[in-house]
Amino acid sequence: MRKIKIKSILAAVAGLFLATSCSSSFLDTDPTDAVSSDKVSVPENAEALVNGAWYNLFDYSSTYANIGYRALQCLDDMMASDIVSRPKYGFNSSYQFNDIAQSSNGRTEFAWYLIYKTIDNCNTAISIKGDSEELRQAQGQALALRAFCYLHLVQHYQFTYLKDKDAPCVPIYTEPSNSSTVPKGKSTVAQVYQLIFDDLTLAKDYLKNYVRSGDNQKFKPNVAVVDGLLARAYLLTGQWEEAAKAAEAARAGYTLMTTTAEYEGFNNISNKEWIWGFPQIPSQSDASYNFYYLDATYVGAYSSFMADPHLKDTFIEGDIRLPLFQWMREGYLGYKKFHMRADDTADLVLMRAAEMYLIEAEAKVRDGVALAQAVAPLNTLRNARGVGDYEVTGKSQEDVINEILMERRRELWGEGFGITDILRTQKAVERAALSDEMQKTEVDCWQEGGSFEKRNPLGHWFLNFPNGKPFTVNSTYYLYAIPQKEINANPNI
Amino acid sequence: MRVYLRLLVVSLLLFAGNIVYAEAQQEKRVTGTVTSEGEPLPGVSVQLKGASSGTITDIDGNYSIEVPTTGTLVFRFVGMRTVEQPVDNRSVINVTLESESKELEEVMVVAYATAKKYSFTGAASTMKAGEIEKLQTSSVSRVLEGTVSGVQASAASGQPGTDAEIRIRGIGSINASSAPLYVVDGVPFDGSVNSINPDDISSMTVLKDAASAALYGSRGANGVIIITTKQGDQNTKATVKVKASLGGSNRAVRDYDRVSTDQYFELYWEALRNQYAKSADYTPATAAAQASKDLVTKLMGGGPNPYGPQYTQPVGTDGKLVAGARPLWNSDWSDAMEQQALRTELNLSVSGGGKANQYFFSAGYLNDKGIALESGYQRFNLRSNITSEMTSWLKGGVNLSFAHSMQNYPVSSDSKTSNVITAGRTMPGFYPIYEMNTDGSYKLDENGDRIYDFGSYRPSGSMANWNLPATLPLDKSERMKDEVSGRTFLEATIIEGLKFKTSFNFDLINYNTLDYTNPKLGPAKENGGGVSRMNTRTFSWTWNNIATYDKTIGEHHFNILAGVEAYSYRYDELTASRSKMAQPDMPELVVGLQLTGGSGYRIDYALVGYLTQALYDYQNKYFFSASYRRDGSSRFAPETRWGNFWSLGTSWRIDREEFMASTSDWLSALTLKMSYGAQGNDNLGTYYASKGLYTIVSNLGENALVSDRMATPNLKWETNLNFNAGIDFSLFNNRFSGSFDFFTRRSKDLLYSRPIAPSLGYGSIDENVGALKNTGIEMVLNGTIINQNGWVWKLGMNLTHYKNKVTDLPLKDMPRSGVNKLQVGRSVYDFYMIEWAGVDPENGDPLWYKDEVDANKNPTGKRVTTNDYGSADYYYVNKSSLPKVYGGFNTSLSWKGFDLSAIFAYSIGGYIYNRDVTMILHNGSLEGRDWSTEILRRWTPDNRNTDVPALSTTSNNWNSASTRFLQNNSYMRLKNLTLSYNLPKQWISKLSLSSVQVYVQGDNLFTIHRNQGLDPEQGITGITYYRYPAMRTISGGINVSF
Repeated sequence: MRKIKIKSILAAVAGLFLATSCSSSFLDTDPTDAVSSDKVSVPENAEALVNGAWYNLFDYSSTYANIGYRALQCLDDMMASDIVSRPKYGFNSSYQFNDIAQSSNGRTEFAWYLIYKTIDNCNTAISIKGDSEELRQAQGQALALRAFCYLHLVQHYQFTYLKDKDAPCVPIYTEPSNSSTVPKGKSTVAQVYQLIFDDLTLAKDYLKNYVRSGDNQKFKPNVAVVDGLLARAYLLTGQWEEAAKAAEAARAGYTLMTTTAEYEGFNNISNKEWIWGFPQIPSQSDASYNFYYLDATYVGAYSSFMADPHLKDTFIEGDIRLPLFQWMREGYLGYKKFHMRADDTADLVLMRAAEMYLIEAEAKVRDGVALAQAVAPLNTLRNARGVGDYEVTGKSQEDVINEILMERRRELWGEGFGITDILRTQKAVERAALSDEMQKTEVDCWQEGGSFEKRNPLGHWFLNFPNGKPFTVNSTYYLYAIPQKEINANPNI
Repeated sequence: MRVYLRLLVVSLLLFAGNIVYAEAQQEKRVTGTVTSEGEPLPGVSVQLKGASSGTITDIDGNYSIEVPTTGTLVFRFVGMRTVEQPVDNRSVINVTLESESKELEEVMVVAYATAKKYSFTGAASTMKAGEIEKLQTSSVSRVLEGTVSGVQASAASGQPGTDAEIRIRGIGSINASSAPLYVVDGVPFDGSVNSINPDDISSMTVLKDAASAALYGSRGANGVIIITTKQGDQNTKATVKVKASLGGSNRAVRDYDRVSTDQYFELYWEALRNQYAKSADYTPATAAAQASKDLVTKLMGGGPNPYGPQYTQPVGTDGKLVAGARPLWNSDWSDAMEQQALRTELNLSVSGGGKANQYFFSAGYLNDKGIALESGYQRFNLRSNITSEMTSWLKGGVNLSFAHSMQNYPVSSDSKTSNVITAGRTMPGFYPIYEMNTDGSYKLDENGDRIYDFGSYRPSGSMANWNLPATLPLDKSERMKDEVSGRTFLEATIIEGLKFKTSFNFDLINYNTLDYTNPKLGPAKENGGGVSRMNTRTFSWTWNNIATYDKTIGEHHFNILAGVEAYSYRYDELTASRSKMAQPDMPELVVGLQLTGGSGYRIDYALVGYLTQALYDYQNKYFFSASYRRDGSSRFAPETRWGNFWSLGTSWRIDREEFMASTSDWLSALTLKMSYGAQGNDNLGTYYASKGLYTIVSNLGENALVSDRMATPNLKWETNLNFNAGIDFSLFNNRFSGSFDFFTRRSKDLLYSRPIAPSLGYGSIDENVGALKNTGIEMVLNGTIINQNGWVWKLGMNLTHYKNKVTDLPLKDMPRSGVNKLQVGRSVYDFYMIEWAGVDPENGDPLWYKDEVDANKNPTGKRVTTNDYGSADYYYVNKSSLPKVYGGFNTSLSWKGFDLSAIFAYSIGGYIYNRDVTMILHNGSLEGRDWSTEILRRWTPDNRNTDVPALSTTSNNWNSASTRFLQNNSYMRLKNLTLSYNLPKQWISKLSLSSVQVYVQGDNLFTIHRNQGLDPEQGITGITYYRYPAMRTISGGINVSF
């Protein structure tokens, strides 16, 4: 009897168990380290979204040699005239024009995705509705960053504006993508510049009250950064007067370095010349990895960015930059500008006063300002670097422009202006091998560990395009290709 | 009425017996010996047929009995087939008893139940404890290789404590997981397979088709491997088993042969000479002279000259070593990167039980050192399995297991410099391990010890500033795991045939890693070394409630099952790292001065399932099964998360038909079976598949949100539609048996990351697109070839052939992904590569194919060769990594307690892209990197027809990915060879032992393969990854039970 009772209870319990349907919330789970996209577009997240866009632009990586925007700057210099590649992992292919111009290359995919993902993240921030000052400032920074991205695209995927402003260039996206967004076709160079100017103008307005709280926030665009970007864009589009004005405004308050010690290392965000840069800390140092290529003397690193000895020859005695040259290793000429800090971090520079002086000078000369007056910004820079004024007497406008461009190569070496300056000025890459005589001399070369060995000097070793033809102006080898992945998945491109 | 009938039958039988007895007039003494498998069998009951009394055999298997000359003797023994022998006037009758064929009535553990092999409607294979115990492996995932049809198992890494990759019946998915579901003691298992002690396993069942696996609906799409652990037997006394084995390991296949120092110097001289000769500045003579002059500096930099200071130019201008020059040292880096690999295994178990309670307790210890320096695996296991029949209607059980493992896991894959496998392979012997004086003697420090040479002078190809033999013992890479697994149940019989079972089960895994680079020596000296720790905790539970009703009505038999199951999974991860270690040899976070990372997250995942199954058979001849399961997964949106999975199956025992009566003396079983059904897969990597997500990161101390994935609210289950048709047979009471199966597996609504235009800011979007098909056959044959005079020889084989085919894709032209590119009609792993066109006999340049183009840059359809790798085109080469046929053989021979058995695994027709060998096949551009002896076949003006190009010091890309390094990876491997001897019972019974077995065994003793140096066991995708090769292990041991 008792048994039967227990059993019927049991049967009831069993029935209950079987019939139990779990409450629906049992199947609703959420991640703990991500925010759902339907909750992301609120004013409180605007700053975090700009930070995310920035984080992506500099810390997204696909290989150890494709880490963030700094890798693209490395690549741009490797393709140009003044860096000799010490053949190592990383950028040796760029030196030989054997990566970014090929649509199926991994680096080509990286470069494209890096920028467009950043743009999409900026678009999310820009799309947020509201009108608080905090939101405006965050959106101002997003606009500046988006303009920076499009300025990068317009310079790398089509020849320069002054060559053909109506050439098709890249797609423009101004709204965040969702699963129903149709991929877009190419806009013209002029249309991309129009967006850049619109964004920068709006950014300048949104950021007018924004003040950084310290050097560790130098990665956040402010009005000076927007002016600097405007100066670059004006210079690229031939608006000389505006370029000079914007450059002057951008550098206001920034002074120039005057000693070798200040110049050496190029890893400090507090450098008084730096307008815009990215501080690095040990827990966020992926972007610093690029210094393993740039740093000439880091023991055990790739140290593949060596200088063309011909470039050194253009420096004048007394220049604070000259002592940084050092023959090293197998016989390459090192330029000890970049150096990793002891904690394996190195702050990155994106814009500094010297460039603004050079833009100002170039724009004024091109604008037809009297040469003696136009070179004043150049001379300010030259004086800071320990060399006297540039003598304009007897020089043509072209001579002066060439001198300014040469000064850009000396001053901005390794900072990512190599191939874009060549594209902008519609010139060809210049690489000359060392003379036979020079090759037969022996120089004291610094070795890892501190000793010195006698070696024959080494200079440029890749002197033509991969197809064997000499370097020419406006070559597609200088441009980034649109990746095959885009071509495959975008019928409109 | 019935009772009367029974009485009648009994009295008739008694009557008949009496008649027989009455007729037996003459009595005779008959003696003889009863043996089994060559061993005398004591305790066998010997009776005259029809009589109630008899005798039993003594300790030596002998008997003696008085019987009528016309009588019949009946020999009976538990577990043996009963034998009858007519006396026929004989006075000596020796009898051999055979084990009762278990397989015929073999009971397999299947989804939520058990089934009889020849009645089951599904396709499943079983491995029993004996077969599993034989293989000395640290992970049971490895025992399936070559032993179970339909299962493709490949141990890509030979590192002890790593699992083999398993694919059942082909490749079921492109982006989502293709790995099978492991079920341990009835419920899905989240622990690591290698934490299970193989000696604790009583059986492994592989469920291959819908009828067998659909009840696991949501997660069964790629097949299910059911592991059942041992349990005590009813009414047995306690049995203690002790196992001890000791052995050692080395490489299963010899590493790539490499050139000697002398050869290297001559070859590199040639590379330099060729390089200089390309320049107009040199004549052939000056190029040769320059090469002789530069050789030592190029290779040794500021380091010591291996030929001694008197030979500044060890290679003359003729390219030959000068007379008298010989290397003063030859450091064997491969040897320095290896260690003595001992293997020790100890297991103890106690099992037994009464009528109501049974138990199995075990403890195990394994210490399996790897062949690579500082690699190894240690494991401790405890298990307690108890079942109890508490009342006549209530039963319960608890299986608890604990495993602790510690794996030392130095980098052993990837092209990293720190890879312990490639480090030895790529370093030539002329770079000394210890610092050398110029005369070839060791430099010694103040204590008289050798000093490790970190070779800052070494060129780019030879790991400058590294010395792994020095740093590895100081560094750490520990993987520590603690796993607790519990399986509990209560089962009530409510009325006869109706049972209700509730079962709560959990797996708890605590995983800790410690990675440490020392600050004293090696590449980390510059930045002070560092330490990182990771702790993860996985806790999952499954609660299921199942009711079953079993009823026989006349010749109809029904079995109905219905239940619910809830599953919850939680994963927590915490990581932290610091660098700049302030104290040497203290790998702890607090010792690091600089915080470099600290992060963590949690994953929650849940499944709910409602399941039911109906089995029906008529006359034990016609079997039908149907199952249905409805599953909800938290991975998907509420609207799409529920999926329906089902199966239908039938089987027909033809041998039980009346028209087969004439074959019943030899045909023991013949079954035809067929099944069809749908299973699901939700495992697409992410746990939050419906949502759009922005990842939270920290950007310089400020919150940052980075877009991660697009919202995909319509995403749903991937479905597998499986068809199986098979035939199983057994002959001569299972002396020969076999099965043939034909299957098709169609996967549709594949969870696929469809590439989208990257300009949208996302690389891909998850969608249900595309379809795949696997079609194949499986065959298994087993037989006892010889069974006489104490000799037993068994032979078995299995083979599987399948074809994997993509049947639908979202884009016509899919993007290339590495060496593959998906295309409808081809397999998932068809190679799509740059095609090697050989070496130009004229100049020694490497050549590849490219499309010929006309003036408008349109391909003409013809192909031309090019020496510019960058301009070569990609082609389908009609080769795939998937083998055409794979499987295994096994054989055993036993005689008087000796047993020799062997298991072979083979794979035929699969290709592999060998990246490993390309590391040591540069053209001279990687100065200081070792060379495979293949380079000796290089192009020279005297050796124009070859497939190795001319040497030089600038890269010609010849070792970049191309079909030059696509190799046929067919192989056969002797997985295991065991020789054992069971000590005769009469010896050991004096020691009160019930069995003693001594054995020696070897794993991977030999391998027939095609590519010298390449271990053929690699990943299923067919690309080598600089991995740890398989080990050959030889050990000896003893098994004792009492």
